[in-house]
Amino acid sequence: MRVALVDHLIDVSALIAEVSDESCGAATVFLGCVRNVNAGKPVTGIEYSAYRSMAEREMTAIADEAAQRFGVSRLVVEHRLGTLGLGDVSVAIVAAHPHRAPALDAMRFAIEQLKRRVPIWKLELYVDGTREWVANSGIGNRESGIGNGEAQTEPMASIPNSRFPIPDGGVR
Amino acid sequence: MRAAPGFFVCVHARRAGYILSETMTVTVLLFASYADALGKSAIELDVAPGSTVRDILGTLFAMPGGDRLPPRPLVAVNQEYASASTALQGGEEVAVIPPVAGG
Repeated sequence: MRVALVDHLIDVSALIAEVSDESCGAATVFLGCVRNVNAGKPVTGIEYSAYRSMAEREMTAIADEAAQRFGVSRLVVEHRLGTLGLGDVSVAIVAAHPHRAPALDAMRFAIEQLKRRVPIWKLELYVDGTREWVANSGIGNRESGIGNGEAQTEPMASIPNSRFPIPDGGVR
Repeated sequence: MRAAPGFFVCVHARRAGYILSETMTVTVLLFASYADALGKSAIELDVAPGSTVRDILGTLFAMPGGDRLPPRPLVAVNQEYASASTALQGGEEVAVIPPVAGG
């Protein structure tokens, strides 16, 4: 199990090789990529930033939870920071297991949790020269006074929260 | 004088003269849209002993640009999500977390 924030291109093949061996009948890969449009506005790129120490801590907690829930310890999560262009991979999650179901579940769990609770932010850069902070729908994202938008790389979780409940860390 | 981490002696000028009082300091971190709102990404705050996260937020709301923060932002204390009633001992890293957008 390994998680990392990186400032360079994500090497997906290397990640697959890292978590797989001959005992694994399945390796599942999720890639989040920079999309060329969001909420109808043409996008040229995204600047990713993070609260690094906490983000790594939350990513580690998610990987630990995936191991507990699904018995998948062969898991790697890399999230890239900095300025990314269209099509660039912003996040990669690879899970490997003797059987496909745990690998698929662990991968899905990891990306949904990452999008909800890991303190990473994106500043979308638009073709018209404007820029805007956008947000996923997750804890604390209900009352965003500033910067609200849709998830950029992927439609938000279709998984009910009850399946993967997490503590609500919102300030009350 | 107690030598707890994060505590220091601060001298306050009062009309009657100078008195010694104990305050504590916390480091407030701001990110993304919240850093833009307040025009800075880190603030050292001197606060009274027994202060909570809610008190810190109140101080931030009163700062220039603080009105651009939402009324109940997410907060993490020492890299863990915390509640408004979380008490501070001094020396903590208090991060105000904008809506997250990883992925």
